Amino acid sequence: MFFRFFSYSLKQLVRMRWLVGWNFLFPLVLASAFYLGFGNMIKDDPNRLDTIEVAYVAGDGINSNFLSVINELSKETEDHNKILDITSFDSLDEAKDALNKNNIDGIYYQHDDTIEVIVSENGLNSTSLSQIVKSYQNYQASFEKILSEKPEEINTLMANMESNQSFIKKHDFNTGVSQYMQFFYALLAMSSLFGSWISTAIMTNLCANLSESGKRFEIAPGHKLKAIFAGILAGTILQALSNAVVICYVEYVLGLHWGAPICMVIAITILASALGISVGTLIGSIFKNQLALSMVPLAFTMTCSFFSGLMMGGIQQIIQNFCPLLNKINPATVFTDSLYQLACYGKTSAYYEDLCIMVLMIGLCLAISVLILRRRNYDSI
Amino acid sequence: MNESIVKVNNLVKRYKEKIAVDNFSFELKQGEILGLLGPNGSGKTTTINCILSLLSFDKGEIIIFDKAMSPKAYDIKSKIGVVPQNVAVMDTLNVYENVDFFCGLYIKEKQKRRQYVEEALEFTGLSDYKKYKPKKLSGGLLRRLNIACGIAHKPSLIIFDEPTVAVDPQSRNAILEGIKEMNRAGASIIYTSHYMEEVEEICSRILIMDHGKKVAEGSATDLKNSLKIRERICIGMPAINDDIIKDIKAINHVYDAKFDGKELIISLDGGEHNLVHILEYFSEKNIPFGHITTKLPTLNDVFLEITGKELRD
Amino acid sequence: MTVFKATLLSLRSFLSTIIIYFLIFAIFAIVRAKVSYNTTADLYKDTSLDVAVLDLDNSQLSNALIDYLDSSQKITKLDSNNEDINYQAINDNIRFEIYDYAIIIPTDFSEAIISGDYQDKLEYLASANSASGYLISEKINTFLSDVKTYLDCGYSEEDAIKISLEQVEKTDIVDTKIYSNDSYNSVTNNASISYSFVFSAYSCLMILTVCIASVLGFLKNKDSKDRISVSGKSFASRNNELILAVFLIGLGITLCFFIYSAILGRKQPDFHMLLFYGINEFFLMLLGLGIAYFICSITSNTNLINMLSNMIVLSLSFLCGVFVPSEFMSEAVVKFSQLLPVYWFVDCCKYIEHHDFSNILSSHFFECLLIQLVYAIIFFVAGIIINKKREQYAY
Repeated sequence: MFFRFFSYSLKQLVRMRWLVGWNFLFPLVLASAFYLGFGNMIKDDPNRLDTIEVAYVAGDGINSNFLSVINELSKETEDHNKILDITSFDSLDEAKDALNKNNIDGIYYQHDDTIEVIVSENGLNSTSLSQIVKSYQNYQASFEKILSEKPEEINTLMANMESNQSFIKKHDFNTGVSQYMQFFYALLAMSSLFGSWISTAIMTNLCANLSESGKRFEIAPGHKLKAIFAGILAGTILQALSNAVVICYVEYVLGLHWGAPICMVIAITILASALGISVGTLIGSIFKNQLALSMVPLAFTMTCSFFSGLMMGGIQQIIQNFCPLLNKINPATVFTDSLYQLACYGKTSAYYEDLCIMVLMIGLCLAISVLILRRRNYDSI
Repeated sequence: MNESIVKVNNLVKRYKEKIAVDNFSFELKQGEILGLLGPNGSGKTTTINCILSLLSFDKGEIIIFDKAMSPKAYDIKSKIGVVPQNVAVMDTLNVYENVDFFCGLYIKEKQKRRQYVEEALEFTGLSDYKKYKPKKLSGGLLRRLNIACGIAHKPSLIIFDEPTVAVDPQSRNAILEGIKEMNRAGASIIYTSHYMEEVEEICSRILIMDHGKKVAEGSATDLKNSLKIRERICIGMPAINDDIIKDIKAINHVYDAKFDGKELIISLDGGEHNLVHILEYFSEKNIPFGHITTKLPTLNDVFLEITGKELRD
Repeated sequence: MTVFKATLLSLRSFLSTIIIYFLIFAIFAIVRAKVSYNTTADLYKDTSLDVAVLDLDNSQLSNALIDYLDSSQKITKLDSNNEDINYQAINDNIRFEIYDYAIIIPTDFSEAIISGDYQDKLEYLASANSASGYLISEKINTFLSDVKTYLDCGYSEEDAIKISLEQVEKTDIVDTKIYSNDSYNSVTNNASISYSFVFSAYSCLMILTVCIASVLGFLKNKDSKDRISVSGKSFASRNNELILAVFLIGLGITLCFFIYSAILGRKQPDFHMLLFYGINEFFLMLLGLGIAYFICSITSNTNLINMLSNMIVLSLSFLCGVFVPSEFMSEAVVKFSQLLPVYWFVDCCKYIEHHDFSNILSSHFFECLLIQLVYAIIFFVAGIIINKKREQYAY
């Protein structure tokens, strides 16, 4: 009996054009839009320290020390690529022309013992160019001060200046996963929660208070909960399949790495699919109105997805800092966080916590639904 | 023949303040076609839904096949077939799959189910439409599919809830013939409708409902025989004065007479050769007249006499 | 005015949709307003980054370092009461751009510097190989190497810190100039009313397409259509009422977005340009109506309308710089997005943001509006053609 319900549910779901569109096509279209929108940023982080193209123009009375400092910065080090790429220009006008054509990011114009920085816009690159001059001026000031106040310590000063020891080191998690992959995690969350539609569609066919065929079903001697669970299983498989298609599409067609083994990502999305389906079952057992049965899952999915960072990356972190509980009760955020934890930090306690919350949510949704659906006669239909 | 299939005792169903079924009792015997007749909103569908345990009820008792009906009385449910008022099929499944799906809720054995489904499709004339989706079917075919889904598992008790609403006369006749055939094959049937002609045609016993209450019960003949008015004669005439009406009322067996501007309507409470006596009076007084029709009492008259309103109001 | 009233009344069914999308917009606009900052100027200004500091040392030196960073960066001090450092939480905040950089000063920091065992004593977290990581690390190294030099040269800790602070303050002045031709596209702006308007392209278009396509879909329903057409109303009067109602719904929804954006951005420097943002928003509304008509010509099923609206509007929003600024997109994608109408809405917002009241009415401004209008007409005409074709095949 269970298998019959299962096969008929699968048959019915596959034939619902709008449902297949929402659950298969929409995430693929959106993934493609994401890729076109910021695939560039995933492959090439806009905040990355790129080598700054800078022109050097020497005026009268050149102090070659600065040139040697910036030449040092144009060598690659262990920590990072070369910071500056210097092009020398004979005149300031030539350099400005290059700046106008966006061939360079800025100009060092050294004249009359001052170093002028000319840039085309404000930003990190400009500030970095300025900072290099500041550091240089600072070393110069130290040198002058020691020379005038404690000339006997000049060797100590030189030793200090020559020492390349750094005061600071990076605490690195070596994640290698772009922060913009968060959008794709949120996309999977949205796709999984769309599964709620699948279960409201199943419920509509099986509950007497939702449809005529539901009445016919409830009049029959079949076990209602068995049929609903068979439908849930069919829906979860369908939803998990659609998610797997999206996962493979992103990994293999778009060439973006999820940050975790693909089978693990698929396994977690199976859980998320079951969660989406369970939420839908709960919605289907609470609401009776046909419009509500299609609008509530959509509204619920879009709201949860928004707060998990689908349209505004980082919103979940803002919530995390102000009201972390909200993130723990938002199924979309719990799911995206589990993928994020796995991709960035591995199988941490937070990762297992997320999985447990998802299992708990599935259990809770189904338990409440069973309590509501257990009754087989109604006060009014 | 006298075995009780359904027994409803003092059923009461309230929707908040409104009483939908009020102390309603009836019994369906083996092999009977029981017609539940009543205007829209009289409580027929509510009663059916209570019998099927879809609706909870406030008071009363429902016994089917000698057992108390409940939502989990699967052994009882397996012997019931229902054809609901609205078409209750799955839009995404084709005709064959729909019948197979609903039949499968009752019949687990695959081979037997396949045979039953084929027979149901044959019976309802849908064999040529197996692959059609419900949306592609005409209104009449859709109603037949609705019936096929309800009867495929060969139930002993079939409940038809207004199965002919919005159906063309040809399909209606086919449906009514089908119901009679199912009854001949041994099924006991409850048939609800507000079409008195249908009920009169197929039901062996009729139960008239109004405001959730039983107002009359019996065979069509019994019900009509219980009326005071046995015959109605309508005579077309241009005009008439009050003296003539007074004279006609004085004729033997004339219960009432009134003129509606076009016809003189004479109600009679029995007797024989009534029309002859009236025509004799007309010829005696040399009163011109047009067409003459005589009408025997209908169930509508029964309803009218009991409730003071038309069944179709 | 029966058709007019019926159209307006049928909008009630979509009240929940309107509320949800509007709430998403409202929350986004508020969050965005809070995190906005300004880097636009004709004069050069150092980029100020959000730096989080976890000071476990709380010594004179660590405080001096924080004061130094505070002079040029936005500092957030993290709670140092917990003994365990939650690197993961700090890293999360870096990844999601709550801070650009985080520095952890260990308990023995001051002692280590004085004793000379200072190598890699401080820890920082920043996005992988980021420019902000380099910049702040460079600042910290510069300051600490000053302190270290003065300590090594025999100055007391107090003097070394004092001299270093004075020195970095003095040498922080660099003659930096902006030299640029006016290319507003290359500038990233943040403190502006335009942000809410840009985001409204998503929310407003979503509401317009879903609601209007559904309302039109409802009226396209064969039974309703037949019932209306057999009524005594003439074809022209029915259609006029319908157009008026749809236009009024569109205007009402758009006005809500406009008013909300205006209230939220009343203190922004470009508030006086509100009128032009409003004109741009009006053309967005026409575009929304066009898309809605196009969608409802394809289907009248509410679920399909929702799906198509989401597909079209979300894709347009991602491709045209509503969610992600087009500066971050590849050139090929930007070129492609120029073929899409929402790009011109966003472009118009940027244009208004970067121009004065006096010179806004240029050919580019009108070009942006015209392209949106043309697209609205294209969608509308496409809808009419599809409707006609469907009717032909229906009989």
